Amino acid sequence: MKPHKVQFDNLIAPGPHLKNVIGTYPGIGVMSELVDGVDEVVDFKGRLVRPRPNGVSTLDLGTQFAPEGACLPFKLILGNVMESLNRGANTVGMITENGPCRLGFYSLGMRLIFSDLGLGNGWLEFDNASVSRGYITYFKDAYRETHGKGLSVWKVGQGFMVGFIRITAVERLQEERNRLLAYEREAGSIKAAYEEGLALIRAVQSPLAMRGAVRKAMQKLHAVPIDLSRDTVRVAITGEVYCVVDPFANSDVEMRLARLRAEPLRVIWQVNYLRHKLHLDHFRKISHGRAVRAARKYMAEDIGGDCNSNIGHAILAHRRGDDGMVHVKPFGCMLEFVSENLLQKVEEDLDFPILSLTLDDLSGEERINVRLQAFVDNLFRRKHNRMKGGR
Amino acid sequence: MPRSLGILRSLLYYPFYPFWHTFFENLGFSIVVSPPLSKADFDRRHRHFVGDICLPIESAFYHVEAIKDRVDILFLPRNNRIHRDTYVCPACAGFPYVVMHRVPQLPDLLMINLTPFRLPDRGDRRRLRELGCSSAQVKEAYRNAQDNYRSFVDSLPDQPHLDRAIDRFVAGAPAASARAAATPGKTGPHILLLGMPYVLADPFVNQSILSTLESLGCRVSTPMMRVPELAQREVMIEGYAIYWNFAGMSVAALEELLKTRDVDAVVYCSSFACGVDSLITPIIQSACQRCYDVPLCILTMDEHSEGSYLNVRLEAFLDCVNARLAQPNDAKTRPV
Repeated sequence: MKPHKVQFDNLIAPGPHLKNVIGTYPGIGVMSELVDGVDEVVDFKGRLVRPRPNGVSTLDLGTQFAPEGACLPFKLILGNVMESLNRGANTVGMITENGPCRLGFYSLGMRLIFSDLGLGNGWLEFDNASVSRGYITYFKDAYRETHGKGLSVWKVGQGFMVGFIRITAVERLQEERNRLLAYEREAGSIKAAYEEGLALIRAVQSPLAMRGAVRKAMQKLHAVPIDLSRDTVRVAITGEVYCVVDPFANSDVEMRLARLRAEPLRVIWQVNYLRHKLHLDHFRKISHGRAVRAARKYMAEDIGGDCNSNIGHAILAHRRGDDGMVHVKPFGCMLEFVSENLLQKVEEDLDFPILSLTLDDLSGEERINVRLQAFVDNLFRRKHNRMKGGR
Repeated sequence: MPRSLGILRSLLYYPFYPFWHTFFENLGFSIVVSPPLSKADFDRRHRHFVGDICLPIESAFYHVEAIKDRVDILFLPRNNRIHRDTYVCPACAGFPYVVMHRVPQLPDLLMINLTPFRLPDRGDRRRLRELGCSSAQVKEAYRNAQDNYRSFVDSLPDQPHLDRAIDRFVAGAPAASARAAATPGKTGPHILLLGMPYVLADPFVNQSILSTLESLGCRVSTPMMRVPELAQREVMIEGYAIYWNFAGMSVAALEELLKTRDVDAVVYCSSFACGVDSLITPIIQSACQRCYDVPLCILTMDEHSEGSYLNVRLEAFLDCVNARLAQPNDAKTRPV
């Protein structure tokens, strides 16, 4: 059945002419690494505003203009985009979806807010379904208008390849960093080595040299003195994808856990998510197909978002022998309400401690600190009891 | 002795109950619907869930508790999608699973996707066969129920009170009496009341907002009266699909009335922590205030809201609307 079309006059202010396009994108986690990689091959000639990482001012700006009930990712993305727009950008490219989650409405919501404020902006959505909506054509047209020459699809593909290789390298480095964080002898030494390694990866020009750079970066991490005799617990981190990958949104839950001598094992990676969104992993074989299958006992159908995979990740983490799991979710998320409740059931069934952290624009750092401390204490006690042979 | 089948008087009950009623009656179940909820009952409830969720779903947990010991089978509609491209709110879609895993001592659960727009699929028919209903019986019951639902939808445009319309239809009152029972022609302003059907039709959730508006002398329209056929269609706006169909109905009803200039004011009744409403209200806000200059009032419902809060806000709002209507046409300005 055909969709019913609704039209309000002047609902959305028109975007800029293709000639004047200056693009930006929401700065989420390691997104900039991907876009920088594309930029190196395609060369946007400065017509791209690199977003700043999220901070308190981003959140303030987002909360000021976002609807009250919107979730934390919406507020942060809105604030981040507004900051970039203030710095000269006029077109935003972002990922969207066609599913039950609110993510599909982010761009419309933000465009309405900008139109209400009297700003006209162009938008580009990278969608499961919008390949047909012509974002490739738009990209090529805008490139022709701004650069005076055409752009081959081959080159864009090459750009994305470089970007993906880079983002994968960065996330592998992060994984290694998380593994070592809890064991460092000197506070901050792992982080410093990680920054050095990151600089090495960023300096790489060709994809072929990446392998060597990753090896060198890893060597830098491994050269840091660590204390392997230290008593630690292993904690998986899962939840809504934005809240997991953005250190500002989750108040850097990984570092906090590491400081409490818990090994933070993140199970959600942005590269998998992007790969799925850009049709490179359409059936989610790489990203979270395994977790969704593991959750079948609890949810017979996939209701969308990260709901099923979060339940599955808990089961997989238990199988892997982790001591506990932290589940981060934004306040008011409809899907995470379901997964939070089902995770409680998983917790009872498997005797596997799970901490659900609800994040919103009002949550303070200390609240998260206190809850994590109590949780990790609990995990240590359980571990020691188990080692003594009791429960 | 026919087996008793429990249906919750909440969430998708409001748009689809007449269909379910005929369907299950044809299959030989005796149907028990949970009683309407009162504030006193709600305060005594046991919280079976954790986390933050809207009032309609919170009250649905109460309905489960009220009915679960009285029935052999409990029907929980497992409607992730209403139609191919349209979804219900994901919390609503996950609700049956939360009930299944969190509420203790449940009767046999019947979790199938049952809407007037699609024959139950093979898996659902298998589940019904386990309960002793053959596929042929299911298909026949589906056809009968669909016919019945169509005549119910035809009777809707006269009746703003969806809950009363359902009761009247199930009791078998003819359409003529429904028309007579509908509110007589009021002279006050024409209000378009928007929101999810399970908020607008449940007097507990919306604090009887419809009756309040009518007692203040308004004519009221709701999306279910105006565009009930859109319950199964996707609504597109500016190239974006509104994939939650009940939200799409609100936007489509708004467009229809704004285009014909047949509306004096718009009231949006949302529930706190409703994710769908939080991103639909900007559309309604921009369309009403920036594009068409129509007064808009957004009310947020939660378990703490009181009837007097609603009265005060609506009376003040209607004073503004009436003052605006009393002005000559060219001097109309945006109300404060």
